[in-house]
Amino acid sequence: MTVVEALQAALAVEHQAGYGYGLAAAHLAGKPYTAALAALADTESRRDRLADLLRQRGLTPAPAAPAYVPPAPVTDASTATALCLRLEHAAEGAAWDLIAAASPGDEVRRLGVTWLGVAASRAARWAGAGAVAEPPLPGQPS
Amino acid sequence: MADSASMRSARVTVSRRTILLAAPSAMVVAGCRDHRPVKPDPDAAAVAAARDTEQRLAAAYDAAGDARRRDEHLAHLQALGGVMPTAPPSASDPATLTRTSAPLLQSAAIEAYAGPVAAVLASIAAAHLAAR
Repeated sequence: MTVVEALQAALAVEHQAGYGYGLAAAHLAGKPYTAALAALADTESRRDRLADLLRQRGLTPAPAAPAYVPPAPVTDASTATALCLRLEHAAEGAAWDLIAAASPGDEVRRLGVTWLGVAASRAARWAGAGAVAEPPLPGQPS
Repeated sequence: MADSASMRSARVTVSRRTILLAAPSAMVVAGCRDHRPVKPDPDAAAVAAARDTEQRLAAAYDAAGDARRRDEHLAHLQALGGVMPTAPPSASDPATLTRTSAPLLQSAAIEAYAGPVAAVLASIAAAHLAAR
């Protein structure tokens, strides 16, 4: 995977995450709601940075789709939390690919490393304390 | 049937020829390899440091009877191509080592020469951050 392919794939993941966190937040309350909104803001910021990195390379960032179909119906707090977990696992995978494709020390590598750390921490929180065992190597291709 | 048999026969001939041709070239390559300077692995020091951390953490959690955390750090060690020594060094405070090693692993991931090595180091750092 080239760095441009990894950037476009990462942008696609963040487009989905932006939509998904908005959908999930509508079914959450209290701390999980606040966490979903914080994740949404972070996702939008990273989406803009990824788009900038593509523009810097003379490329047009792929736009978001008007809507996305979640992998399972989101009808309550439990299914919304499960969607949030899946969004972070997707982010972990995209961050891994970004890191592997980027050059040592460059901005793309830095972005990927930070993103992977954030996504793994969020995934652990959505999974709940000890409820679901997270993979030992977040983002590792299966 | 006859056509099929001849095709099988032709494949065997090609296969044998390939083996016979490959052997002398392998010897030439082997002869050259001895005289080639060995390039140092630019990521060797970072990987060795990460292995040492994972050995200490796995040993500490093993001593504490925390099999889940021990296995997680053994998985990290395996991803780094390492194994547990017979008498591994142990961390006196594994929670602190987990926390303090995360930014070091992230820095090593940013500077790693090889992309796959960078991804493994960053993933281990991410797991340490998530374990807080």
